[in-house]
Amino acid sequence: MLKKSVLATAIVLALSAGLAQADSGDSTLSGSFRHNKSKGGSIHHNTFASQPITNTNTNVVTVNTTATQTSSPTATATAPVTQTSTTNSTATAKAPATQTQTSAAVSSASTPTTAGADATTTDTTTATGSATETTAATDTTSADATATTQEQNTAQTGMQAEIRNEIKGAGNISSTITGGNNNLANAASISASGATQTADAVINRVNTTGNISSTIKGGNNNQANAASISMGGSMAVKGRVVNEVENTGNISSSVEGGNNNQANAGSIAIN
Amino acid sequence: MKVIHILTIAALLATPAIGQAADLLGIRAENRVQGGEYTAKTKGNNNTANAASINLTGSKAREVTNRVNATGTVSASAIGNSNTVNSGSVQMQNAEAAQVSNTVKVGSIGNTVRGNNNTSNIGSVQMVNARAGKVTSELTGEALTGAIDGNNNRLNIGSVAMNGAQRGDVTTKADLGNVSVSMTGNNASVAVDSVVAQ
Repeated sequence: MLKKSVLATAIVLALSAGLAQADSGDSTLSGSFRHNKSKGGSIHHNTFASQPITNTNTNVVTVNTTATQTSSPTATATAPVTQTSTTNSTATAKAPATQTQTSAAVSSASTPTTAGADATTTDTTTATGSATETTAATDTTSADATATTQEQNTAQTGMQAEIRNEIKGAGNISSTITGGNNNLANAASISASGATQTADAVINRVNTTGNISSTIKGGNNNQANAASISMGGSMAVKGRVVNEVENTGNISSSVEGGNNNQANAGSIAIN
Repeated sequence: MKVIHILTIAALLATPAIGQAADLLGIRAENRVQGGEYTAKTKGNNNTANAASINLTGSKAREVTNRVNATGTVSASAIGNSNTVNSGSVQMQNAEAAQVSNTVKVGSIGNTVRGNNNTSNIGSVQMVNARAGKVTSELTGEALTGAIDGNNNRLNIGSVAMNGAQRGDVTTKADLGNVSVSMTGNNASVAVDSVVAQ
């Protein structure tokens, strides 16, 4: 009896798998290309006579709007905060500080002139020490940030993760980086890269009346995203990549100087 | 006998789930943009500026959908060499997609490029060494401006431009008011409301 049941189930599963394979072959990418047989298909080319649209447009057509320019100062105010919190320069400065202190002890024993020089170095290290104390508050925020990314990574390994960024009713959103290389400035955007990254879906929804701007001033290998999704490094997404932008003010993205730059405004870039 | 029925039903119920999982392979990229003005600008070399656009490089996608309904201006500009500038467009390089749809309704739209080896797409679909099953492009706007200053430049407006591409059905539609195009330099190529396959 059990053998019969197992045999019947195996037959049904085999038939079902065959049907599923046939369906997927018709609907997936490779299937559709197979049907096309290279450069087939028809070309429908509808040309309409040029005629003005009667709808009156209330928006003033200006490329360099003042709104974008006024939003950048708030960005420069916030940009250094994020830079000090993310950079490890203050943290790594602790190690050289202790090293110079020990070397100062040795050199001060040999020559007093170098001792004077070492004294200045220890002064600077104490200055950086106080700097790290002031950035202690930002360290806690960075710790929180890493905690959230760890949660994302664990979810992504389970192939269930969804990267979602939703913004509603916000004011102006801006992000600015001035100088340096390998810069990435995101405003109301999702930026993800890496072959190990896997997500079920990537969704960026922005619904705000404010202006959104992202600016990089100078440097190489720069990318500025405003209300956009940027993905790179052969990242795998099982589901949809959706970028929805509604009811916003001006959206601008600019890279001012440098090489290998990319500026995205209300766009999706997958490289 | 009951065991056979139960196992049969379970197997049949599992079948759609298996089929759907296979169906989800490949990215479905949707870019829906409404309202406001969209501006992307770059200065330097090897630049890419995308405004209300989708840019695919070296990727596989199942569906690529770009819907733009902006009452203001969509514009992109680049100053330098080897630039790619897209406004309300879909650009695919070394990429594959089963379906590509680009629907753009704007008040005005325009690109400005200064330099050499530039490509400028306005309300267009451009495919370079790419494959797509079905390509649809629709552009509606009141005013359109395209300016390129330099050599070896290409400007596509409301068009589908394919270079070394494999494709299925291609449909284009353009409904524009005032169109202003200016180009200076050598080896210029302009396509307005056209299909270009090379």
